[in-house]
Amino acid sequence: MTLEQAGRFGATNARLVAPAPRRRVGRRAVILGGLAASCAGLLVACGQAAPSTPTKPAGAAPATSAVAPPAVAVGGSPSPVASPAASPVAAASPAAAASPAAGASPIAAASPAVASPAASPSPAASPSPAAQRAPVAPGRTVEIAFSHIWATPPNATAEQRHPAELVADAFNATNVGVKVQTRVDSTDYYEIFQKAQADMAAGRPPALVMIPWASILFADASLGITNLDDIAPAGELPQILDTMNPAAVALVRLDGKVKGMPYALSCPVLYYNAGVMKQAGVEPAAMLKDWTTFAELAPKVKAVSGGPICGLGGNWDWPAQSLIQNAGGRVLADDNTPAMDSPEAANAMRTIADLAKADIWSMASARENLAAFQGGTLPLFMNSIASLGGLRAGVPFDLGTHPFPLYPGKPRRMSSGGSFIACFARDKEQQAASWEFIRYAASQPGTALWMRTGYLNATKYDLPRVPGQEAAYVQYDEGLTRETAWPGRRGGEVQRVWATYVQRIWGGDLPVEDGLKQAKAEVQTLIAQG
Amino acid sequence: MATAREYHVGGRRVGWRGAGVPRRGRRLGADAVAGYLFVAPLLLLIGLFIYWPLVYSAYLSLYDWNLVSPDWRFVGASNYTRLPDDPRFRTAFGQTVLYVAALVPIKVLLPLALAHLLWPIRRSRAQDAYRVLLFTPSVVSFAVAALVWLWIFNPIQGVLNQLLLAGDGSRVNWLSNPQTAIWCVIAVSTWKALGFNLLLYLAALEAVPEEYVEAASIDGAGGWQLVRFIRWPLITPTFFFVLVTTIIFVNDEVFSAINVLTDGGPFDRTSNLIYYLYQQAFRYFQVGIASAVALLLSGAVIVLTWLQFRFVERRVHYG
Amino acid sequence: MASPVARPTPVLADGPSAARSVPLARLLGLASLHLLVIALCALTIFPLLWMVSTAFKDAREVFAPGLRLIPSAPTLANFPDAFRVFPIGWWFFNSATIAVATTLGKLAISLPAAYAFTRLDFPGRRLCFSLVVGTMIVPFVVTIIPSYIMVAKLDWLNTRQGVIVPSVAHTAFYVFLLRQYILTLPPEIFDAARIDGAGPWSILWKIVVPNIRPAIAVVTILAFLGAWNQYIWPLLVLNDLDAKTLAVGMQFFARNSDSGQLWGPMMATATLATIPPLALYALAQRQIISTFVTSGVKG
Repeated sequence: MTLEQAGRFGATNARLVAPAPRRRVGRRAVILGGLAASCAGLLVACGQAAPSTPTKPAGAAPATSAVAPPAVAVGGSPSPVASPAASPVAAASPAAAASPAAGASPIAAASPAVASPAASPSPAASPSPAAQRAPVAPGRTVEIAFSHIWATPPNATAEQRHPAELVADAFNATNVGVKVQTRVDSTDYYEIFQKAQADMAAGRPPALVMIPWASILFADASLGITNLDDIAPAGELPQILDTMNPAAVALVRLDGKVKGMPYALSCPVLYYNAGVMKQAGVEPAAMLKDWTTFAELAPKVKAVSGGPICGLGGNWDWPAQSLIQNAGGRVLADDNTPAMDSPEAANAMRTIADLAKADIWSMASARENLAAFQGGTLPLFMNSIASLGGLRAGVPFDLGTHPFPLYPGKPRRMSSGGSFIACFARDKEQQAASWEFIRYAASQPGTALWMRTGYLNATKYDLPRVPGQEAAYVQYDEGLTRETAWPGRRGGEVQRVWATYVQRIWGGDLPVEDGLKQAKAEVQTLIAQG
Repeated sequence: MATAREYHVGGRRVGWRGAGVPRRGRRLGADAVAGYLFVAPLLLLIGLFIYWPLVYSAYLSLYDWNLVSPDWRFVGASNYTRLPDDPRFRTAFGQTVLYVAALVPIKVLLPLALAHLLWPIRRSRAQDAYRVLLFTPSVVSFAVAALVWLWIFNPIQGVLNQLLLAGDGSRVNWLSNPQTAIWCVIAVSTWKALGFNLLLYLAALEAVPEEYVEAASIDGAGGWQLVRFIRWPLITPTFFFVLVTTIIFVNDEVFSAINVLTDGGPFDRTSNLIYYLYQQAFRYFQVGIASAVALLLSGAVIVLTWLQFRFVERRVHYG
Repeated sequence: MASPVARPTPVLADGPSAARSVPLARLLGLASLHLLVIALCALTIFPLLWMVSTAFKDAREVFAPGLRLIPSAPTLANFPDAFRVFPIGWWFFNSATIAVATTLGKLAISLPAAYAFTRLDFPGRRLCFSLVVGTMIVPFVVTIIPSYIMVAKLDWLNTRQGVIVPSVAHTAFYVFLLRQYILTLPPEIFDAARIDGAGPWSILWKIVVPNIRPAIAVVTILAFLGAWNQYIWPLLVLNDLDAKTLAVGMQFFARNSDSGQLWGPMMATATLATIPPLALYALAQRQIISTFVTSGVKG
């Protein structure tokens, strides 16, 4: 536009007008004073004056994050609702152990099974972190940041803090010249991932981040994980890996390198409200045996609850993987091509779609389902075993757990979930310090602390189990497959695309077969672009 | 006004006695230096943060980069050509058109109607009070607005569902239902923007000179004719301004509402091109694709604005 | 639509009824108008009232079914609770600092520029002005990714200056507004100043600023509101929990799965976040209107 037009555009009825009459100063002062007073009053009431410390250094962030939902009392391990086992874009398929590029040998024939190590003896000598070790940087303490998603309620006592914090504290107490600063920027894997990327863009990569199994390929392709082989002193890495369940180790091997330390290992289970089930006159074991009995007995439970009786507590694609596998299908085949349009997979998807149409399955969001479950209006809740601690502490009724219903005649093939500790440090000193922490976390004392969550034991150590985990260990014992690791540079997006398709198919927005075909086509395109 | 001390050239006072060098040249010189100095910071900032990003975005859109890795893959125009194949882009595009088509008329015409509604009672305490009340949503931040409405739309305890429950016992998943979600976002955006445009229109109506109106009504013009021939033409500048700025900012404004309420919505049904861009750049780290979308969007807005200036602006009556 | 011109009530010779009917109809029309507008206002204000109401309800009442605008057992507990969940104090401080700094920055940049575009003649003035005006059309989205990269390179991520400096660049609108206002000043006062030998700098401070105080007030208020309520840019730049502003922090509060159910503290935070803008508006609304009338808005 020309200048004249701009001028006209702006200056129309420009004319001199007497300035606005001055208001009486008194009224303004009164309003301002009143507001200032009430603000000050509120702030004082909150017991917090103007912040005392100046801007903190970017690397350190106190974990002053979320409080548990109102009904949840503080205690146990208040794990987040959204399945911590899988990022919201969780891929879901029992991909083979090897990455598509290099052929690392798969542990099991078809897909790696992560079996419970209950039978194997504890390893003889666990590397003791308290042993004499050369300090990373003589004379000073190296600080590293550890980014995870497990928030501790701010009112928690020292013992009630999340085990992730307890492990960090215990490590710091060993005084090997390294101080771990935990940070919980979000309870969502994706967001802490985003934060890690932002830090890397600024040239300050975080030292340690929890990366979900599903994102291992994506994280490595897009951000470049520092291999543990490169940062561990000679011989120490194999020693540590020996103490871990071999199938768990297989999950972190990529191109022959070890990308991180397996840590949070979980699987999905069904939680139920024992009181409501009794009221409905339904025996949980009978109803949850397989999907046929589920559909048969569901109306009796619905008569008591009044609405949908079961809902998801996390992202859509992670349980979908287990369901599809239980039905005999796959999400991604061994060669990382999409296989979700098989008849078996369609059968699995149809089961839930039919339940949703009959208003038995809740299509509400995870947050809403959690609130409903805790409030007693949703009798069944499908979520990760890792939230056991938080749920048990937070529900007023008797909490029960049960493995997933199966399909008659088909074997159980549940998928695992969770995350591993990945190192992104590029600086030698930070890398050495990171290794010290990883060693400790994977050692027996570290793991013992960690087992206070509901997560499954990924090591060979014989450690006590949390009551209620039996259902999960049943599934663990029969072998958990790997969670789908979406390949390529667009892996993150693929995950979310698939999750959206699951949601749409279950919700009735797309017919089952067509939806799966479309999903397969789109997934294929995105993977090919990697 | 000429005095004995002043020099005049061609009717313009250009200097005054006592100056050796012709003041005109010196004044221009000093003015120019001051002029440059005064606009330099502004030009520097807009160059750095507005024009340079425009160019750099164009550059980025030709590559495949993820913000951190050192390798950039040159992909030429494929970031652009692959867009129509992406179902999510198509959805976001459709949603953007829907947002513009729904929000622009509402935000531009509804406040106009309201302003006319309030006109008869202007200059009264009542109108002052109404104006304050109606403008309040525009003053709070979008995040606050979205948060409050998130609470209102809550399917279990929210106000709307409580009312529905009390009414006919039904319950709507406002934000999880693909059909209703986008209208919820539109409602929030409208609620927030109404007051601001209303204020602008009221001010414009107030600025209509009384003499015109009186003259016209003495000549026998009735209410509607007054509007059509006197008031409306004189507030067209404001109308034009509201139209142009609304179109430019409509997609930006719903961003925070989308971010808080639905995060793109059930199945991306509340997403728009800006949200798509945000996800591509900051969730999936696809900077090239995001830049391509940004450029397309900017191009569309610039073209739309130019079209408005070309065809609509000539109808604007500048008093 | 009622004419703004006051019509004298016609005095008719034939009876009182005719004389009464006109004002009665008008009265009814006015009454229904008022009712309509009042209903509209109530609808508009209701969400904010509901927000305040929830802020003072205890957890049990928040989740209880039924609608009560006035809490049966009002409590202040949500406010300290909110502070315990998230660093609201920091958020407030950050919001305030960023808003003040951005406002001052915009004023400092746009005032001299507006004066220069109006009163100072320098080669390329029209070009520069077109450039400035052009930025109003360039949508914000196209600038965010490169600006983000720049801010990251400068190591300004998670800092307040990372938010402030790029925001100050978007001040073309205020340059415009100020320019319009300065154009309304009579040229004589400038010439008088020149006679006295004043240079551009002192003219700016001694002549221009005192005379355009209403416009400066409006720019201040609008810039402050805009900076206080800014969303997209702080969302990208501020990732650290402590570094967030109120707007971004509240989004985090709501979407975080752990805290997403804490509606009481959330509404308390929202209430606190609303107080400064509302206060500002309450104090300054006359100014805003009058300035719009003077310079014809748009600019």
